[in-house]
Amino acid sequence: MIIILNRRRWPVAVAWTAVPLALVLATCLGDPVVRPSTVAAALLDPGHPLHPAVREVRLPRAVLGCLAGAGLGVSGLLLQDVLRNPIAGPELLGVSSGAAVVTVTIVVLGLAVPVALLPYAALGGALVAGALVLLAIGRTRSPDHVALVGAAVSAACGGLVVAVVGLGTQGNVVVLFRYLLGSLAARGWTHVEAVAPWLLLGVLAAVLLARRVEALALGDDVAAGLGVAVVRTRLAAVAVAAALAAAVASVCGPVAFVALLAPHLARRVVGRVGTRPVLVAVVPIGAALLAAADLVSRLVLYPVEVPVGVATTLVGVPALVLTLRGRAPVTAGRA
Amino acid sequence: MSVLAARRLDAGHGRRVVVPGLDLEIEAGTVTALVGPNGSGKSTLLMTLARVLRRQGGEVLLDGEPIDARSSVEVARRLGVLPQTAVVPLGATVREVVEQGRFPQRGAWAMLRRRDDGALWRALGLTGLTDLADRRLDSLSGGERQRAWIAMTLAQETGVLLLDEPTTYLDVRHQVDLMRLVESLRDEHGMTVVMVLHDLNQAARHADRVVALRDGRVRADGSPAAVMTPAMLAEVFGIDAVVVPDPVTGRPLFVAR
Amino acid sequence: MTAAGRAGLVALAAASGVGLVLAHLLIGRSDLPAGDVIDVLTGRSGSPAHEIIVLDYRLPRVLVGLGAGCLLAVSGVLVQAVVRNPLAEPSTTGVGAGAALAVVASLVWWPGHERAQAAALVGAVATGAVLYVVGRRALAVAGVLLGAVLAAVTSLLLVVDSAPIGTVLRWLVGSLNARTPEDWARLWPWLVVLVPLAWLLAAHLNVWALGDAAAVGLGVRPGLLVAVVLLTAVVAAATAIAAAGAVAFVGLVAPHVARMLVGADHRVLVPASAVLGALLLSLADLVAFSVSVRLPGVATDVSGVPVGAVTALLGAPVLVSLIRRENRA
Repeated sequence: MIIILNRRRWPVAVAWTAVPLALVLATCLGDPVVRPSTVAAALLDPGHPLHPAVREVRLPRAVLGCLAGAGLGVSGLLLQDVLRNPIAGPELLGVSSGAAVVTVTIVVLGLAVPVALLPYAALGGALVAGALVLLAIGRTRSPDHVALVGAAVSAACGGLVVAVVGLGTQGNVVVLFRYLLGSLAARGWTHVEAVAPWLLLGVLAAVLLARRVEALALGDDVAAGLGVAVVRTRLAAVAVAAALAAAVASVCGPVAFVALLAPHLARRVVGRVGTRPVLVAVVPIGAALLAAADLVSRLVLYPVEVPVGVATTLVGVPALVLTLRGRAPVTAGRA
Repeated sequence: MSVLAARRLDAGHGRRVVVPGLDLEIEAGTVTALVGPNGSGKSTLLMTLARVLRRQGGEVLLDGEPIDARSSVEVARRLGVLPQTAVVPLGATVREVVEQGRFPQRGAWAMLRRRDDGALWRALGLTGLTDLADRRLDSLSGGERQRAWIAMTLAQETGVLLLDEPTTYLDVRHQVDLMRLVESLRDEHGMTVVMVLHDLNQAARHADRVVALRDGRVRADGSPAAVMTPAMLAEVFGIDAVVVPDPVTGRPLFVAR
Repeated sequence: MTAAGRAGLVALAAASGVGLVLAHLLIGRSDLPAGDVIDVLTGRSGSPAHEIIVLDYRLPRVLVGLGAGCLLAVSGVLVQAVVRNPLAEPSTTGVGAGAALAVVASLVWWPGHERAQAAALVGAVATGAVLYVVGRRALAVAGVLLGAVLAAVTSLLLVVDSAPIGTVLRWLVGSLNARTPEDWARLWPWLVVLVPLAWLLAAHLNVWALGDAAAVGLGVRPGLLVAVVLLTAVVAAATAIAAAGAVAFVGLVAPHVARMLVGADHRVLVPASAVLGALLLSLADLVAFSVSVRLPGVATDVSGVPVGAVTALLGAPVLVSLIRRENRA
């Protein structure tokens, strides 16, 4: 990995340090505010009055935020590079909402599915929605078309989610509205344990695929000429991206715009566009981004908690527009 | 008086000026070819003359008066444009697309009623598309589509035609047919044609006048014989070539060395 | 399409329309024997209660359904023409989200059915205006992103004040429950204005379909045309959403089916989409209120599913077919 980082090494290092920083901040801030010096004590001493708040509430939530953010960032990067499209991301490709439909259905209808199995069920929904979108995109590289296809699939899923939620009782409805938006509220270690293997395996798979994905970014013909199995690589990359997004959506809901934004930020930080160098930066950037967004959404309207998906959308879309501005609206021409 | 003229015209995309301060006069009843290497600004110039691209300075005169003095529809009755970037509407037939060429002449309200008029079928006939009239455009080959776009421009029945790379996608036979068609439009209908061509020999053979651009400036302008010289080919295109008389017409023909 | 084929389609559409209206009037959600309904319709009923059920409950519902469906489809076909993509419609371009946000805001601060309708109109038109200004180069992308932001703001409002969430959900998904004659009275003038206006734009839309450059060459002024078409589309969507909520996919499905039946020529496509949209929403509503679902964990049957849930379900397979068709082309 180090060999790849022959240029602009220090911004990546800074990005990596942002992760522990976000973890510490997320553990310390809130009501009550815990000083960093007492965090260690509160963490390790079961008798400490702040032990439950820090150990069982804030820390798992922060860790989950980091893991989910990293997973989303990698998911977005894979999709953008493999589809050669700057606005590809699980949220605009319907993958997240496909996972949400399944999750919401299970929760509202009270189906007996253990938390650990939720990612599998969500993955089913994500893959169906993702396959639909991929079919629809076909060979076009026009961002307009991709955006509309994704929006249509998302609208279909959104309609289903709202319909399912509408069937539930009022109490369910309020809770579920948060599922619909993406939230990290009231998530504990069980949730972390449920998704951590998915995310770790997904990121590992992304690392293994990175070289071939990078070749795909040069165009199908060029990649084939370089000896890359184009179709297989694309399918594998999309499946990995869908799995990552589904794992996140199954416990946090469809947190939007982290996956879309993190790769663009990572490219800025690294100063390059290749999949491999960007991958090194997108992991910490995605993690820090989501953890920070969650912190903000927890505190900004305290005591009311804003679902983190709302915060990431409200911040992510303007940031995305700013990042993409100045580039031609159609960065990759039509095939 | 010239039919179409550019006065100190600045043409480009967005804020980028590609063709600065250009003067050009197009005489009535002539065929003019714009040639030049990629990025020389020939298509940008043509599309700016056609008011498809907004000009960034200077003036375009149509029949001696500023092109903005008339409404866009009135201009479209006088000047037809074949762009490179036409979109094939999903599911539209050849006839439906070519019929759109009648929009400026018939007017928007009349277009709301279906009517087959003579100009539509003449245009289909001239481009050899009569038999394909009811086929879906998206089911046709690149060359057939290109002919449909040419037919649409012809159906406009304008005195002036601006064609941007009209021979793209056409096989050799249809390229020859199209060039003959352009000549007959000039000879029989007195039409004025300005076209961007990539093939220099085609330009030399069929145009009355060749304008060679490089980096947004006119480097050579005149009859094919005057323009097609080894010196021009070296300066504008950076090729080392000999120019010989074409055995059929005696026009200049270049062969790269 | 032959003249006979077209006449057949018109006859079929008319028959389905009459059939749907009758089905709505005869079935309804309350038990009323068909004979009594017919008595009301023929003026022989002596029962004011029956008259109220048929004329004040059932008739407005079917009329509002037909009208809103018609306007949604017209809006869809117009937006699709502007962005030259058959996947655009109010729910995919942010206009629906804008209307929903305004409705939620009005429900939170100034509750009231009429105000909510006015708010939907304002919200959709404002979104359309923002879209026109911001999204000149990439209208579709801009619409999708704008829609996401507006939906997030809507959620934010609901997080702060979750009291109106039940009403809001009905708006977000679209429902024709409890429509009144006043709803119809507010809707039909828009129909009378907007549908003919959309048809009058058809010749321009046909030219616009050929691409910016060709359209300019044929004498169309892009800025003006896009503004007029978009405004018409947005007002159509807004009035429909005000009457029925942000029903998704009617604007996508109706023009798609219409295109398969009559082709791409907007002179025929616009009216065909309008008719199909009306039939489609009304049919979906018939399905919506006739279906009752037995859910695990819920004691009673759930009935009165919002019509938007039905259209979302119908939308998915149509989306697939749309997509496959396009890939073949």
